[in-house]
Parts: sequence; structure tokens; C-alpha cells
Amino acid sequence: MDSPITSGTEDEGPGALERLARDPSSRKRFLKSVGTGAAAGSFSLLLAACGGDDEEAGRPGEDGPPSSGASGDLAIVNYALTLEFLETSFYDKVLESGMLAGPAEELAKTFGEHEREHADSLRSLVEEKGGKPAAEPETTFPLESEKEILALAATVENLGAAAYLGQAAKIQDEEILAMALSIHTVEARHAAALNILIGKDPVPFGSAGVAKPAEMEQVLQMVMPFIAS
Amino acid sequence: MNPHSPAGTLRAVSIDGMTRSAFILRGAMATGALYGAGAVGPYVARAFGQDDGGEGDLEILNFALTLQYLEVEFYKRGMEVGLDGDVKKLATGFLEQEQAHVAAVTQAVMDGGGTPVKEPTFEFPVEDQGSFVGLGMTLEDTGVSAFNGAGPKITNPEVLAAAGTIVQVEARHAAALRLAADQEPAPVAFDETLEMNDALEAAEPFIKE
Repeated sequence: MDSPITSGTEDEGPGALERLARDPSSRKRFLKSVGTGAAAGSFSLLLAACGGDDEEAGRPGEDGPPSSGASGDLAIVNYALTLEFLETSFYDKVLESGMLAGPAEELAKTFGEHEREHADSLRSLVEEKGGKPAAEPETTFPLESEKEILALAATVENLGAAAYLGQAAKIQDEEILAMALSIHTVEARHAAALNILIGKDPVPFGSAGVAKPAEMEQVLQMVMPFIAS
Repeated sequence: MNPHSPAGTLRAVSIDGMTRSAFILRGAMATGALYGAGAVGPYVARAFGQDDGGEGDLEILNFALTLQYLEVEFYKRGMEVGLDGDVKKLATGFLEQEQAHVAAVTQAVMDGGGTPVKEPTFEFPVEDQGSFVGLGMTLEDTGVSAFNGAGPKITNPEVLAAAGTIVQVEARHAAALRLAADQEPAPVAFDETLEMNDALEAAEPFIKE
């Protein structure tokens, strides 16, 4: 089965991520490790906001929203904001690297602008709802060749789409949900376009045609290597 | 006729059915033809915003089912006119996925204790690969916007999660067909125009039965 968080053709099998998702004790260990210095400060704050450093409340993926109602929604928006910061920074660094040209560069420019708009809107939304926006993390990405960059871009966008899908049903506030849904399908468009660009299936879910969500822990673990500590 | 113009193509799609879902879908297409796909979401949100609870999710599921019927018939029409190359490959996969969506949404309606809506009859202005791709991207854009508009009106989290797994696939279809038509795969940063009061006022007549 394809992992929801890759561009879909790498067969990773039931690996660490799935075990993590199933096993509460390893999940707890993971969240603790993130909370105790493996991540940048802003990232730890994000996890704190999500309840990730609290043994009782820290199961956003499996047992419903990280906390109920407005604070749960704000934690989700800050999680999304952090992912958008990562994506924005990724495209900025890709374009700075000068490794892309032609249609690939054009896509990277457009997609990067979209991510910046997403981040701006999510940040405003947090403030509007009386919350404190997540801080922008320091990032690092391997950008050695066009091939590597495009494969990473596809992975990041497929992950982003899966991350939004994983949160949609947990959002209580109608305005926040509307924004999350309208971003979700744009991330999906980015993912499909990049999959096509690297010769993969734009819909990497087989004939059932059902997209796979990714839970918060999975996503955070996947993006950990891109957070500069 | 410009094959990439929503006004040019959506207007010519015929949806012949007497169900409320078919009626709302006709209104959605008219709204898309007038104001672009971004206006379809708010239009659908308003149509379902009028429901006073209880039956709301089933109504939305039946609307989603009607939309999936339309997409299945559209891809079948593509197969009839004859497609080739990458477009044929894409359309073959997409048809299978839309058929799976019809089965899944039908099951969801029955699980919710409802009766799956009857399929309307559709006619599409598709004569060749060019008109297929042009209308296809517009229909998929419209479907994405319709789903996104209906999403916040869904009360059952399981139904919402399931709708999400489908709409993400529709968005991927839209992007792929847009690329095939040499268009931006993601033309805007948000797949729904959140502020569309003027369009909603204008669309009002379509959603009154």
C-alpha cells in the first residue's frame, strides 16, 4: 500500500510511521523526544499548544481533537501555519538555489506564492480568533539537484495535502473549516502537478480513488529533518 | 467557443432530473458559468445552509452522489469520442475512481438510513479530445468548489472525513486535466472564493425550488 506521505510510488511498507500511529507508548516517546530539544523552539511551542507534551491530552491523531472547541481549532490552525511556513521557506530556498529552470521554476514560483498566501491567511485567522500565531521555524532542505528538489517538492506537497485531510473532521469552527478545506485542495493540486512533473501518478491512491490522511504525529516526524535545531 | 471558458462549456451541459440534488447541481453549474468555479462553493454552502438540521448530511451526500454520477458519465463520454495518449490514460484511471466514488457515496447514504438519489440524465458538449479536456477541467474545478462549499455544512465528522478523501482526488483530477489543457494546475491560492456576496445574490433565484 502506498504511504499517504510520499509521492506514492515508493513502497515503504508498514514502517515506523504506522507503528508509531498505532502504538501509544512509542507515540508518547516520540512526542517527548520532540519536546525535549530535538526541535527548534517554535516547534516545541507548537507541540505544547497541541497538547503534545502532555501524556493525558497528547493524542491528537487517534482520540479526537487535541482539545475540544476553540483551543483545539487554534492548535490545528497553528499546526497548519507551521506547515505553510515550512513550504514557503522550502520554495524560497529552492528558487534561491537556482537549480530549477523553465516550467519547473514557474511552478515553484506560483506554488511558493500560494504557500505564502496560506501562511498569511492562517496567521491572520489565529489572531482574529484571539490566539498566538506559531513562530516561523528555521529550516534546512537538501537541494543538491533538480531531480532531488522536485522529488522533495512532491513529497512535501503530498504530505501537506494528507496533513490537511487528517485534520478536517476535527475542526469545529465553520470559518476555520472553510479555509482549511479550500487550502487542502490547493495542496492536492500542487501535489498532483508535481507528481506528473516527476513521472508519477497524480492520484497515487489506486482505483478506489480515496485519498489517505496523515495524522499530526506522522507529519511532524516527517518534517523533523527540515527543522534546523 | 473557447473550450477553456466556463461560461462557454458549463452552460451547454444538460442535467435532466427532478430531484433536489439535480436542481442544486443545475444551479451550481449556472453559477459556475456566470461567475467561475470559485462561486460554486458559496452557492452550494447557501443551498445547504437552508436545511434545518437532521436531514442535512443525507441531502449533502445525495448531492455529492449526483455530482459523482455526472463525473462518471462525463468520463464515459470521453471514452466514446475516443481519446489517446496521456489523456486517455488519465481518463481511464479517473473513470474508475469516479465509479468507486459513486459506490462509496451510495453506501454512505444507505448507512445513514437514506435513499440514494436517482441518477439524472446528462448530456455533454464533448466531441473530441480538446473539448473533453476543456470541459473536464471545468467540471472538476466545479466539483472541488461544490464539495468545499458543502463541507462546513456537514455535521457528522465521519461524513466530513469521507468527503475530504474524495474531494482531494477531484482536486488532483482537476490539476491533471488543467495541465493537459496547458493551464495552471492551481490557478488560485484558495479553492473557493470566500467573499462572494454579489454572486450569491445573483444566484439566489436558482436555489429556490
